[in-house]
Amino acid sequence: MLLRTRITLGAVGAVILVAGALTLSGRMLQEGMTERLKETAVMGMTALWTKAVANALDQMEVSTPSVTRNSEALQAVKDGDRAKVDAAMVGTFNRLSTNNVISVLQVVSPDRTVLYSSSAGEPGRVTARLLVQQALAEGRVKRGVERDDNGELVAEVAFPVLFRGKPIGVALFEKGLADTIVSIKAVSGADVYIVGTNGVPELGTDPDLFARLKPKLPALGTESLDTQMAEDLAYAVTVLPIRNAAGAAAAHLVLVKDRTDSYRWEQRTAMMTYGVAALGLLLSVAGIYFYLAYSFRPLHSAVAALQALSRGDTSVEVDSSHKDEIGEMAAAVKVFKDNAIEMKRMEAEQRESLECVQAEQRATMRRMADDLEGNVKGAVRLVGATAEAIVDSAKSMGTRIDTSTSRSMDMAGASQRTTGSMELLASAVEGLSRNIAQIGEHVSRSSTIVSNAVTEAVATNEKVQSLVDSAGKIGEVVDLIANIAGQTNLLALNAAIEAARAGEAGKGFAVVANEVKSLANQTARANEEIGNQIAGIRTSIEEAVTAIQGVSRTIGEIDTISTAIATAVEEQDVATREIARNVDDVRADAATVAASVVDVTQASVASCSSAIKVIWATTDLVGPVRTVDGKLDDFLRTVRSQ
Amino acid sequence: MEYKTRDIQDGREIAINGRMTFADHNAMRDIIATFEAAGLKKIVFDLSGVEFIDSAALGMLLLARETAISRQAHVVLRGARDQARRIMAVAKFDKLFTVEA
Repeated sequence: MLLRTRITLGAVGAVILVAGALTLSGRMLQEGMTERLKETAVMGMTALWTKAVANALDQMEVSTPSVTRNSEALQAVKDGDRAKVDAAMVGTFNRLSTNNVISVLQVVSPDRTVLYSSSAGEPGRVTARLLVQQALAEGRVKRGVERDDNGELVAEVAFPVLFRGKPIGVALFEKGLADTIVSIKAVSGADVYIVGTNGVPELGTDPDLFARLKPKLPALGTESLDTQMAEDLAYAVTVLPIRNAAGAAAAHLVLVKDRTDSYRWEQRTAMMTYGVAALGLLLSVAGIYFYLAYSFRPLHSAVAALQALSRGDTSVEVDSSHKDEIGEMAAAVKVFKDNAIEMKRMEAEQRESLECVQAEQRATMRRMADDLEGNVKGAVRLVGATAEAIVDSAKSMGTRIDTSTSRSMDMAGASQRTTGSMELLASAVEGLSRNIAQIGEHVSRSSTIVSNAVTEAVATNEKVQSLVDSAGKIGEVVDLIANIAGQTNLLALNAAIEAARAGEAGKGFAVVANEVKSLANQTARANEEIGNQIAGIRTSIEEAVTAIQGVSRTIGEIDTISTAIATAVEEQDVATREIARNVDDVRADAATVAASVVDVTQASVASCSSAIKVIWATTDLVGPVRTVDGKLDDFLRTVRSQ
Repeated sequence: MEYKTRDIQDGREIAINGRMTFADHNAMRDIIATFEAAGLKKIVFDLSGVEFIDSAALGMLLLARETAISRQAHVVLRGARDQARRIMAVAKFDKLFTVEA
C-alpha cells in the first residue's frame, strides 16, 4: 500500500474519530442544555402555576375581613348557634360568590364541626380538610390546593376566626381552579389540564386536544417536559405535580403547547447539521487526499528521479521547491542527479581522453604498419619477386640447356648414325672392292675365255654384242661409281673439316653426315646396280660363252673393252680404297664428336640438375615468402582495423 | 608424364609413363619427397613406359640419386628404350646408376 494511501486512511480515520467524539460531546452538551432548559421551563411553569394559584388565594385572602369583621357572625360562631351563623354568613357568601371570589364558604368550630357551609347538607359533620386542621392547630392563615368533599381539586384559604382575641373557629374560602387554568393559558398560551391519578382530565382548557393527543404522563409527583406528536403536529407537553398542603401530589398539571414550527425547525437544523457534518467530513477527506497528493508530488517526482537515475537517465526534472522534508529530500535527490550528470560527464571525458589515446595509439600503430609495409613488405616482395625471377631464369636456363642438349642429342644421334653409316659404307666399299676384284678376275677370265673362244666369239658375235652393250652399261655404272667416289671423297674432306670444329658447332657436321649417308646409300645402290649389271653381264657372258662362237668377231673388241674394264676396275679399286680410308677417318672423327657429345650431354644434365635444384629451393622460398607476405598483410589489416 | 609408386622388398618402385621433361620437375620432386620414408634400400625407376626424356629429366634423375645416396639407398634405372636408352647411354648413366634392361 502506498504511503500516501496509508497516511490518507490514517488522517481520514482520525478526522472521523474526532468528528465522532465532537458529535458525542456536542450531543452530551446538548442533552445537558436541554435538561437545563427543561428544568428552567418546568420551573417557569411551576412558578406560573404557583403565581396563578397565589393570585386566586390572594383574592380570597383580601376578602377574609368580610368574615373576621362580621361581629354578628362572630357572636353566632362563639355561641355555636348554627342558625344565627347561617343567617350572618349568607350575605357575605352571596356577596363574595357574586364577585366570583369564592365558590364555597364554610365555618368550622375548633372541634372541626362544620358550623356553616354554603353547600347544602354540610353543617354538623366533622370536616377532614387538612388546611382547616392546620389553621386550627397553628392559629393562623393557611392556604393551598386540596381536594374538597366532592373530590374536586380546589384552592382554599383557611383562616382563624377570633372573638375578642380568642379563637372561636376557622373559616374556609374555597374556589375552583377553572379560572386559574384559564389565566395560565392566557399567560403561557398553553392549554392547561388537571389530570387525576387515573389519567382522565378533571379540568381542561381544550378537552378535544387532550383526547387527540392522549399525552403520555409520568408517575404522579414527577415533573417532565417532552415533545409529543399528534397528527403531524408537535406539542410540548409539560407535566407538573399539584401538591396539597402536606406536600403530597394530588394531581398532574399538564400544559400542552403547539410547537410544530420550532420542532420542524429543529428537525431541519438537525438534518442540516448532519448534512453539513457529512459534507465537512467529505471535504476534509478530499482535502486530506488532495493535500497529501500535492505534498507527496515532489516525493513521487524524487522517487521517479531516483528510479530514472538508477537507470542512468539524468534528463529527469526534480521539483525541490517545497519547503519541507520532502522538499529537502528532493533537493538531496537533485544533488544525486547533479552528481550523476557530473559523473556521466566525467565518464564521457574519460572515455573521450581514452579514445583520444587509443586513436593516437591506433595512428601510431598505423604509422608503424605503414613503415612496416613500406620497409619489410617491400623487402619481402622484393625477395618474392627475386625468387620468382630466379625460378623464371632457372626455368629458361633449363629450357635453354635442354635445347642445347637436344641439339647435342641430335648431334650424338647424327654422329652415331654417321659412325653407323660409315661402317656400312666401309663394308659396302669393301664389298665393292671385292666385287671389283672379282669383276677383274671375271674380266680377265672372260678375256681368257674370249681369247680361248675366239672362234666361238666370232660365231656368237651378236650375243657378245649384247654383252658389249651390257659392258657399256657397266661402264656407265662405273662412271657413276667414279662420280660417287669423287663426291664422297670431297664430302669426306668436308666432314673432316667439320669434325675439326665438332666441339662447338655440330650442326654442320650433321649435314655432312647426312650427305655422307646419302652418298653411302647411293654407293650401295650403285653397287647393287653394279651387282645386277654384273649378274646381267654374267648371264650375258654365260650366254656369250655358249654363243661365243657366234660372237668371235667381236671378241677382240671385247678384249679391248675388258682391258679397259680392268683398267677402270683398277682405278675403281684405288678409289674404293681411298674411300675406305676416308671412311675410317670419318669414323674416327665421328667418335671424337660422340665423345664431345657425351661431355656436352653430361654437362647439360648437370646444369639442368642444378637449375632444377635452384627452382626447387626457390619454390621453397616462394612459399614462405608468400606466407610472410600474407601474414604481414593480416597483421597490417589487424593493426589498421583497430 | 604419369607415374605410379609401389613398395617392393627393401624399397620402392616408381613406374613412369609418357614424356619425361623439364615440365615434370614438380612431380619428380613429389617422388623424391617419398624417399624420406625410413628403411629404403633400393629405389627402382621403371622407365619402360618412357617415350622421351630430356636432359632436365636426366638432371632430375641425378637429383633423385643424390637424395637416395644421402639416405643410404641406391637407384636402379630399369627398362629404358629407344631415345631414353640412347640418351642415357650418351650421358654415361650406366656409370652413375645400376641400369637394367
